[in-house]
Amino acid sequence: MDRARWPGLAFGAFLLLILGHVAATGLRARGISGLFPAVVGGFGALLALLNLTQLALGRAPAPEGDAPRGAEAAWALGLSVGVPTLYALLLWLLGFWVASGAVLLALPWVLGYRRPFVILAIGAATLVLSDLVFVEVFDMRLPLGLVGEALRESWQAE
Amino acid sequence: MIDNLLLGFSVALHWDQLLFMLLGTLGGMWVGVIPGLGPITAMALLIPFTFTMDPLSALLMLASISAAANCSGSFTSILLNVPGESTAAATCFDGYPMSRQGRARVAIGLSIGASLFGALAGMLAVIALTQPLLALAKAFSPAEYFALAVLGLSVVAVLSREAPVQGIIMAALGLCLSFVGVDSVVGEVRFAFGVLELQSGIGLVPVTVGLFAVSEIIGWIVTRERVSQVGELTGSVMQGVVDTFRYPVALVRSTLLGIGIGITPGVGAVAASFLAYAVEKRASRTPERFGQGAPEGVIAPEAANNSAVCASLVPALTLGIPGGATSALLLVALTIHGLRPGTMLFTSQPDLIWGFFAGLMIGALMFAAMGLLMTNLFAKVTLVRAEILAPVFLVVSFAGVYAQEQRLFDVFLAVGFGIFGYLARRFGYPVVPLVIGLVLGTLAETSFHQGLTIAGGDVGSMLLRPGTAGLLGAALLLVAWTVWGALRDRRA
Repeated sequence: MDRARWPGLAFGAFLLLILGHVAATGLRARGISGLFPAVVGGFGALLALLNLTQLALGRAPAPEGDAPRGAEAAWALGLSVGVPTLYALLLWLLGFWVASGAVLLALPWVLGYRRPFVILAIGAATLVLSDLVFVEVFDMRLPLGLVGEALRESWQAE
Repeated sequence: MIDNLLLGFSVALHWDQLLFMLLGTLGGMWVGVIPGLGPITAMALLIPFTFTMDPLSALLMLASISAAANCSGSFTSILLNVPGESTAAATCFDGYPMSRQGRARVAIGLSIGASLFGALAGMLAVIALTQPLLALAKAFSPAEYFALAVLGLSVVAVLSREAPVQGIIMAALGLCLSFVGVDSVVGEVRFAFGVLELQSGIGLVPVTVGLFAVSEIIGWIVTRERVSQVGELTGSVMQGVVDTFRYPVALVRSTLLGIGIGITPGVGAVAASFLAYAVEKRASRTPERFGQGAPEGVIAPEAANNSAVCASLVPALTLGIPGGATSALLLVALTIHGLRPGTMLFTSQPDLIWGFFAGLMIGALMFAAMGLLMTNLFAKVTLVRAEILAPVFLVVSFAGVYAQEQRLFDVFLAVGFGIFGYLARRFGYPVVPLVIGLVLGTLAETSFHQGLTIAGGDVGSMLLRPGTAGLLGAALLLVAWTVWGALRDRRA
């Protein structure tokens, strides 16, 4: 089988797994609570299986992404999936201000933008505007992260 | 009616009312362009400040926020493929391709023209048709709501004509996501996997921000291209406004559809915009232009969602049934001021109610004027390099997602949906059907079970009610019409 089809097959199998799980859980549920999940999940799983079979047999066209290919593709895909995930983890650990500052300063540089003053100015403006909109105007708390919360608690204790 | 309207304009054209509308419009425009931070947050925040205001000023300010945010949410859909509001998600389909072609200003002009027409025509229709429309809305039972949800779901067939199987799979997935949390029928927790945050269900904000904003940002990181592929802006915003009226059938049809859906509580402007888009695509002699920057693809969802938002005020003000979250907050503001929605409101407070209607029309004009003034500035974002745009929008999107419920879990959900959305697009699965499934899932399931209970468990008598059968027939017709069109195209 053409190796280019593997990622598409894996994605199709993932969808089949989710829909099949919903159908099975619906069938196991007591009373009418499971009726809709069983019908929708079952129907979806059936179509997902059909789609997967078509793709495996080569009857459906192989999906074509707009992403670059080769080693560059692996780097780009890793970066694109890694950046939002890493940023979310940093939000949890270090809080909004440190995590966002890091992303705003590091990401343009990593992507090949080489004008430090522009990066610095745009990063600072984004953080100031975020503070104005979310904290000052809407009186919302942005996450301080595990480290930020621990520091705040220790300051309060002192 | 003319006398009532004149009375309304005489009340609404006071400088203090105009000032509150201006403040509301500016605030709404501002929150509308930030993903996740919608009019509901802004209205909820401002309600305590309205305690000391006179009721009309309070209502006009809150309604102006809602109307302006509804319109400006489409600006980011057009410029960045990131809907500022869920109601603007359908505007991405053709608005964003126009920006890619350097025609961002024209697309915003189309959006402003269609929004203005939708809002004004919607208000006029609401004023003229309140009583007969109310009688129709009252006749709706859960069985009709179920049929309406099925009609909304049938839009998937039209929207994913190029990949119908993948479209239906994604719609089923969206429906499955709507099952997460407390079951609306028996109150049991389903599909929460022991995660506390999932017990309240999956919100629309992390899903839409993830599928549209995060997956788009991932795309920018991969390709490192500016939004405008031609690297310049062509056409003007006025050209877009004028072009809006070159498609009168699309404009009127979508507005009427928006009004019909708006007066039906619980369906909402999101469904109206998707349905209007699907109808225009299907009715077009050249459907292949849709998704490539067709002007009707911007006009239809914008006219429909704005007229739906206006029309949702009818059940809110007359029956006390909110058509959506924003009209629910308007009801709260009314109640705070000791006013009760209902026929009495129309007879005992005519200056308030007609002043409110007239004020909404003035507010729509105010927003259009502001939109025209600021479009050139907004459109420049399509020329900014992806290396700068990606981190800034990642930070703003995540802050917006977190701010809504103040929990990091939603940020992780948005990341998950972002990666999923990016992969889905790469492998040829359209993501919009998933949003439609999620939006209509709860309505479909709850109304089906309620309808079945009312019909004593007899599915036949539930589905053969005239209204239900008519709506289901329309859904069937829409699907058959699409299949027939697809087969005809294949033969040609």
